[in-house]
Amino acid sequence: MLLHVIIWRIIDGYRGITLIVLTSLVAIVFTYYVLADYILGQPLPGILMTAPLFYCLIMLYSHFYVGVLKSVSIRIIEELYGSENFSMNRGQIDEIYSSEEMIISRLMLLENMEWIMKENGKYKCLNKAIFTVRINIFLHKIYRLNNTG
Amino acid sequence: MHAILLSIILSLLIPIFHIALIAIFRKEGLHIKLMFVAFLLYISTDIIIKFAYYYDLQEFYLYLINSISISIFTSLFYMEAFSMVARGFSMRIITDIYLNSSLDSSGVIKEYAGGKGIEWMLNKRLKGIQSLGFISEKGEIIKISSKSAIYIAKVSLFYKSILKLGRGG
Repeated sequence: MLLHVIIWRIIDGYRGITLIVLTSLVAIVFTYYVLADYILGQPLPGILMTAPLFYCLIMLYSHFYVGVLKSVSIRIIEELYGSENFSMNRGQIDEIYSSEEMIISRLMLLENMEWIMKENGKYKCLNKAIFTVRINIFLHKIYRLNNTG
Repeated sequence: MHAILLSIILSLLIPIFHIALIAIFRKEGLHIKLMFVAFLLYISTDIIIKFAYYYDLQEFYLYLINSISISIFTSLFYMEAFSMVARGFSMRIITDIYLNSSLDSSGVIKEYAGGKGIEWMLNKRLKGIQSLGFISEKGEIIKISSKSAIYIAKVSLFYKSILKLGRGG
């Protein structure tokens, strides 16, 4: 956690899940081979024996991190908390979440990642998007999902 | 090692249990609750099998902790994957573009979620936190209605500030 905070305070820009996993792996190796073995002199059980527990903790933490960072619901609660009397009207919430801005930024991201392309002002799916969407539609059927998104 | 592999193989039961439960109950809005029931069934099955096969071993409790860790890990992985299928914003956008052959940005806003529109998504999120009792809505006014919501906001704002995460959302 300490390493995570230090790295996040130093580095700007990309700070996604891959960096969290790398940070966690460095922390695990440090705990095992420097802290336990070298500094404390009390070796821990084999690293492979405790690896599942570490994976589980990394996964739990990643969920917490992404949840806090990306959740629309948490952001709405934060905005309400920061407002007068902890209340807002629909118009103010719509201002925070401009639907147009939200869609356009996501379309730009999808275009940059080559999931979609723009042709004559219209967006079209590229091959990897078509493949993923077909799987998605199949999953909607088997899970009987009617209201997704 | 066998115990861990067994937990991973048994995790295939999660989608099977989940799909079977959805087919049995056939009720809209129960998907998330049924997913947790599927997790519980999987973890219980895993623990029962571990007791049956490994109880006599000297390091049984270490195996058990590993198995439970793997079970939680695979359950969280499944939760993330299911969340992407059921609630994923980008996934829904590319699905709408695919279903309509091509769309411009205003078309994406209008056709979001099979024609429900982007406002529907925001309403869905608001209803979600309302059903958890965090907020209440009276006419046009939306208000925090529980102390838990205040704690969530405080923790989240503190966490974002120490990690310099910006506003998020």
